[in-house]
Amino acid sequence: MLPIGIENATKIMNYISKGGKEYVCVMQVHCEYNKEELAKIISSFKGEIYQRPPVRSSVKRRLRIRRIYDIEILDMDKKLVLLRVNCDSGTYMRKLCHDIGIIYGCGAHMRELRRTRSGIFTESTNLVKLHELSEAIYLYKNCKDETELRRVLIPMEFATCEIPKIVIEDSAVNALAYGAQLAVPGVVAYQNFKKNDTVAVLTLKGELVATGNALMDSEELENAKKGIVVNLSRVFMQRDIYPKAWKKHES
Amino acid sequence: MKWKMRKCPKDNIYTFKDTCQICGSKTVIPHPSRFSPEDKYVKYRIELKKGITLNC
Repeated sequence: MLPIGIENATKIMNYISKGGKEYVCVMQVHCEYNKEELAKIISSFKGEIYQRPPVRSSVKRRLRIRRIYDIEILDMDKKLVLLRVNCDSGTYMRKLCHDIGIIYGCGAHMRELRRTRSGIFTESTNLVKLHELSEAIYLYKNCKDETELRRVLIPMEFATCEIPKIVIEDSAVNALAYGAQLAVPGVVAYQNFKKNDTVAVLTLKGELVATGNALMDSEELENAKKGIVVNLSRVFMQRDIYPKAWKKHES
Repeated sequence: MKWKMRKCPKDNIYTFKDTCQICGSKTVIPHPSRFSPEDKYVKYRIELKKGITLNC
């Protein structure tokens, strides 16, 4: 499972990839093991762990702290152990298996790996195989049937479902697309958020306009008459989709 | 390499065994098969899945 953003939605991938991950992996231990002892060692990995990225990795190899939220043994068979791991993004499963092997004393390595959840996207609800994507594209291109493609591609607004939202007036949308700040009068509705939280700015129809960091709490916003609400970091809305609603200052 | 991981398509449970311990149905290998962007046989795959002949 790997969420992929296309075209404009590539911008939102930053928010998606930071979410927690869930893996199912097959670990092969290099000796006959005692089930209870190994289970004890594996459960001791729950919590914060230190991990140095492996030799072949795309990040700087310095020791980092990652949290394992849950680690569960699903099955055991001879030298193999089937694990389900819930962890932070940036945790290397191969390294985790290796470390378990070192602590057990005879070494271990990862044999198979499958990511079953990435942030809000889970295997059972959102997983699409490349074959299915290819079929959907074929049906769309040759049969003008887009139902399958619409099932496979989901709107990027889906990715904002865990972020607090601010709904703004239609008249403010194009101004934001041109780089204006979001001020209090433009806000129509909002969910609760704290200062510095990441918030998503939506139109009345629920289209994603931008994301950014809140400059005030939602309680503060309730009483505010003017001022800037959000420090926008990413603007998704294209220019001139919404009509221009501001007056040009004539000098 | 021989895949060892199995998954029950009904219960979404991972195991090493060939039958699901909950429902008793046959488990499958969860890893997807190889894919090539060329995908020559996509038409035939759709036909097989839908059980119809495509005329487009």
